[in-house]
Amino acid sequence: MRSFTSNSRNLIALVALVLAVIAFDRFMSAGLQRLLNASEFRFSLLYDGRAAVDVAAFGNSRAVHTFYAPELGGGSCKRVMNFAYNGLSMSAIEALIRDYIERNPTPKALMVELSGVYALGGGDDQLTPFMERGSALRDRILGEEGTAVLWNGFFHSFRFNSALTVRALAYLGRSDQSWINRLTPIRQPGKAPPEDVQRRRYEVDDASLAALERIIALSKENGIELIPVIAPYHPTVTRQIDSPYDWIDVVKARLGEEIDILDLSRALPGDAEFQDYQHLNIIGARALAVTFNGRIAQSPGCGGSMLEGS
Amino acid sequence: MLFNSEVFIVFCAIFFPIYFLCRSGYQQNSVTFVASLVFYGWWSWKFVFLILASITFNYLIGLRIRDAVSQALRKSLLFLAIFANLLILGVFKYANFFISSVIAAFATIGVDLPESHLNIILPVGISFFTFQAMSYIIDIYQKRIPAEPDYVKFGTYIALFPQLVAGPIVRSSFLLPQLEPRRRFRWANFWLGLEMFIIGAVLKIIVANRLAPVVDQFYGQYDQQNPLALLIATLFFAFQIYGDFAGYSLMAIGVGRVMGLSFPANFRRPYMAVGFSDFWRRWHISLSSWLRDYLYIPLGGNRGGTWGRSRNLMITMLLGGLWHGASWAFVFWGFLHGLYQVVQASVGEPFKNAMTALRYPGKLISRLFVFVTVCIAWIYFRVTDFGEATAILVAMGDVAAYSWAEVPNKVDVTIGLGIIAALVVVELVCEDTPWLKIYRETRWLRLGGGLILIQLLVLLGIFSGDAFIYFQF
Repeated sequence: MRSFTSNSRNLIALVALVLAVIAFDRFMSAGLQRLLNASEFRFSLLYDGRAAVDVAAFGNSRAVHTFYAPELGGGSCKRVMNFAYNGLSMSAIEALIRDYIERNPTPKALMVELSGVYALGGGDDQLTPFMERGSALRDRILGEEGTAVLWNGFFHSFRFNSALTVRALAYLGRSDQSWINRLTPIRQPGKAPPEDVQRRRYEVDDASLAALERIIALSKENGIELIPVIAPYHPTVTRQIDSPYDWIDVVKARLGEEIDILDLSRALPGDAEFQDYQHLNIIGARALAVTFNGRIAQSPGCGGSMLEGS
Repeated sequence: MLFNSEVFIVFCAIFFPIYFLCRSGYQQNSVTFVASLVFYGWWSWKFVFLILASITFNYLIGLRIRDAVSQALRKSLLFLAIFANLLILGVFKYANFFISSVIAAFATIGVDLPESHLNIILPVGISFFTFQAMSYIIDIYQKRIPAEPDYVKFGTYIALFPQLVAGPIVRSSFLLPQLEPRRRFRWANFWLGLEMFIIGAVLKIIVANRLAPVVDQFYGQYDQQNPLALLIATLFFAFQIYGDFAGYSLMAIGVGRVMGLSFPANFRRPYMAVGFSDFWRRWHISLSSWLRDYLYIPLGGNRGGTWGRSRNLMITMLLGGLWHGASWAFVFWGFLHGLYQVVQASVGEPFKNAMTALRYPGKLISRLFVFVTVCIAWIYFRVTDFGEATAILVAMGDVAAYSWAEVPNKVDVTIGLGIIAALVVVELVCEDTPWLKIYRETRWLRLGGGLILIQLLVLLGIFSGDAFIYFQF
C-alpha cells in the first residue's frame, strides 16, 4: 500500500513537472514573441508591417556589410532598409521577400546580393524566431528542418533558440540599420593562410538558382525593379576559395542578357575596405554607396529611367 | 551514440523497461552487457570485437592470477596483462606518434628516414576501458579484490555504457559489488539521476557547445585575430572543455543512478581550486586518483625528499599528459601541470601564507592565479602545435593592442561571456556559501531549478554540436 502511495505521488510529481515545463515554455514563448514584435530589428519591422521603404535590400552576410542603409538612397527613393542576414540561402531570401511584399507597402526597388546561390554556411534555421509570423518563411523552414519541426511542436520556445533572438532583443528601442563591420581592416592581408586550411569551392546550388528566378518573376509581377548585386571580394579570396569568380559566370549564363547584374566582385582592390576576404567593412560599404545611389536613382520607380542611365 | 542525441532517447526507451523487468542481477547484467555493446558499436561495429577481446583477455588473466600457485607466476601474469593492455593502447593510439617521433629524432642527427604512417582509426574511449581493465588486474594481483568468475558481470563492468567512452573510470572494487544484486526501480534514484542528467546536459549542450564555435573560429585563424579575441578564445576553451567533460561525466553518473548504480564524482568545481594539487583533486578525479594509486604511489609517492617527490610528480603528469593524446603537445601540457605542482610544493608555502592572511580576497586571488596558469596550459592542449600555441600566448601578451571593436562574432562572444559569468557565479555560490546545502534539502527549489534548466536548454542549447572532446582519449 505504501509503495502504491509512493508510486502515485511520484507519478503525480512527474506529470506535474511535465505540465510545469509545458506551461513555462508557453509563457516564455509568448513573452519572447511580444518582445521580438516590439523590437526595431530588421525582421521585427518586416514581419510587423513596419517596414515601409522605397528600396529594400536582401542577401546574406556579404549583403549585411555591403548595403549601408543610412547612406543609401537615390532619386526620389530616399528610404532604404537592409534586410540581409548572415548565412542565408537564396531560398530563405526568397521567403523573406515574399513575406515582405505580403506584409508591407510595395517598394519601388529590391536590391539582392546574389552570393546566396552558393551554400556555404546554411544559416536559414536562424530565422525560426519569425517562422510563425510569415507563411513563406514557415514553409521554407518546415520544408528543410526535419526533427526541428517535432521539437518546435513540443517546445514552442524552441524556435527562439537562435542568435536572431539575441540580436532582436539588443535592438529593442533602437534601429539596427547601422549594423556593419567597423574599424576592422583585414589583418595581415599579405600572409597566406596556413597550409592545413581546407580550400573551399563555391558550388552553385540549382535550387537556389531556381529561387533567384522566382524572385525575378515575383518582382516583375509586383512592378518592382530588381537590382541584382555581386558584392566585392578581397583579392586574397583566391587563396582560400578555388575559382572564386566562376559562380558569377554560372549565374549570368542562367539569367541571360535580360537581367542587368551590378557586378562589383572586383571593384575594391584595397585592404582598408575589407574585414576579411569576402566581407566589407564600413569604409568599403561607404565607398560603394555612391555606386548604389546612382543605380537607385536610375530606377524608373525612383524618378530615373534605365534607358537614360545605360 | 551520444547522450545528447535523439537515438539515445530511443535507446533508453527500449533499454530501461527491459532492464527493470529483469528478475535477477544476472539478467540485468546480460541486458546491460548487450546494450553496452550496441551503444559502443554505434560508432563502429568493428571495435566491438576489440572490446570483447580486451574483456575476454583480462577476464582470463584475472582467473589465472587467482589460481596461480607461485608468486613468480602471478607476477609474470601481471606483467603480461599490463604489457598486453599497453600494447593495445600503443597500437591503436600511439603507433603513429612513435613512428613520427623516431623519424624526427633521426632527422635531428642527419639521418632521413622515409615518411611512414599507419592507417589506424582510434577506437572511442580506448584509454578509459583499458585503464579500467588494468586497475582490475593490478587489484587482483595485490589481493585487494577477488577475481570475478562471472564473465557477463565482468563484461558489464568493463563495457558499462554510461561510462564506457569517457569515464568516469570506475574501480572494480567499487562497481562489481553493485552488479551483484538485482537493481530495482527507485523513484529517489530516478529523480536524482534525472537532475544530474539535466545539469550535465546544460554543461555540455549550453556551455560547451555554445563556446566551441567561437574557440574554433578564433584559434582556427589565430594570426588574423586581435589579441583580445585570442584571450576570449582561451577563456572560452577553459570552460568549453570543463562543460564538455564534466557535463558528460554528470550525464553518465545520472544514467547510472537511474539504473541503480553509483559512480564516483569526476569533477568538483575545478576552477575554484586554490592550488594545483587542489585542482587535480577536483578535475577528472577518477583519472587523477587512478594515476595516484597505480603510478605515483608505486613510483615512491611523497617519499625520497623534494627531489624524489618532484621526479615522481613529473613522471606521473607527463604520462598523464600522454594518456590524453598521442602528441608532444599533450606531453608538454602534462609537463606544465607537473611543473606547477613541483613549484607549488617547493616555494608555494610563502604565497599560500600571504593569501591565507588576506582571508577571502586571498582565496579569490589564489583561484585566479591557478585559473590563469591552467589556461596557459590549456592553450597547448587545444592547439596541439607547439609553435602556434606559443604564438597565441605571445600575441595575448600584447595588452595594448586589445580592441573589442576588432573582436568578430560579437553576438556569440557576448552570449558566451554571459554563460561563463553565470556559471562562475553559481560555482562561487556553491563553493563559498551554504546555499548548495539549502538547495539540496529544499524539494521545491530543486524542482524550480530543474524547470529553469530545462527552459535554458530549450532556449540556449546547441543540439548539433560535435561529439564530446574526451571521446578521443
